[in-house]
Amino acid sequence: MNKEEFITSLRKELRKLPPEEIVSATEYYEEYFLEGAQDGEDAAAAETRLIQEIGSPKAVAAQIKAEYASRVLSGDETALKYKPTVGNKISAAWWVVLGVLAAPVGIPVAIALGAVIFALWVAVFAVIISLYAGSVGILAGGLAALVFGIISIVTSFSTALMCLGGGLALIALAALIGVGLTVLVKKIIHVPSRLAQKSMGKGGTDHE
Amino acid sequence: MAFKIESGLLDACALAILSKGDTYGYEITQEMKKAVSLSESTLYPVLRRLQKENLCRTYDQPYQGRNRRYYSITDEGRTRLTSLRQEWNDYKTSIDSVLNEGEQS
Repeated sequence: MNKEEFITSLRKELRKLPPEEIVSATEYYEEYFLEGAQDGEDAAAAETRLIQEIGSPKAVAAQIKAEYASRVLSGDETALKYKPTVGNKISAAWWVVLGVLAAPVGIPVAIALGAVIFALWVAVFAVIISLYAGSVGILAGGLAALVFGIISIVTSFSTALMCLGGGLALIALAALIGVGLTVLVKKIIHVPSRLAQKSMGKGGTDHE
Repeated sequence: MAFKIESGLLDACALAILSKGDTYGYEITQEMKKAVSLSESTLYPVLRRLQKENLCRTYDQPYQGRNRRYYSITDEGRTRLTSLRQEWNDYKTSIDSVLNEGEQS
């Protein structure tokens, strides 16, 4: 390894630090090589000797990064100001490019997908509403039987008992279907809202 | 050596060297190596820390057709050095009192 390779390697190891830190460190070691070369010593030999003394770029970088990290942790303002945005900007630009390229295909696909999802929702709600209507019907039937049973106590005790029993059973059945449906509906509403929260990352209230 | 050198002690030594006059990285390393066995790569983070804490500053001065980066102690650095010296003396005294107790009896 020669000086150039050492500096390049060091720069690579430090690439996650702010540019200012990288420049400062590489300048220091560039100069260190110049100062360390002894009078009359062969330049290449001096570089080899100094690299041996300094150690591997990885070990040197580790010390620099440790010092930087401790500065950030202790709240050095200049260190904290640094936020690596370059990478994010590039990826954001890429998303825009991808979006524009995909638009002719993407928009119809998105519309179709939206329509399918909407249709599914409508179907699910239709089923739920019909089940509710059914349970309401059963409830009405049960109540009617109950009323008829009470009225017919005067005329026929056995008919009254049958109607009362049948009416109570129907009401219980309606209640059972109603409760079951409500639990089911809550779950159905809960799942997409949770998915939406997850995909959005934040925002949206919890349907608990 | 059996004793580890803490970063505070390195800061103090570097400041003490700078308090004698402005000098550059390689020279500071050589000077430090006279007192403690330290790796060539130890000093840069020390100098960087001192610089960021405004205890020393740097300036470039032409030397043999290139720039040499000089490190210079600040007033804040001198104040810190004084307090570090005091702390070190207190520390040394208290360690000595334990270490040399057995020897005297």
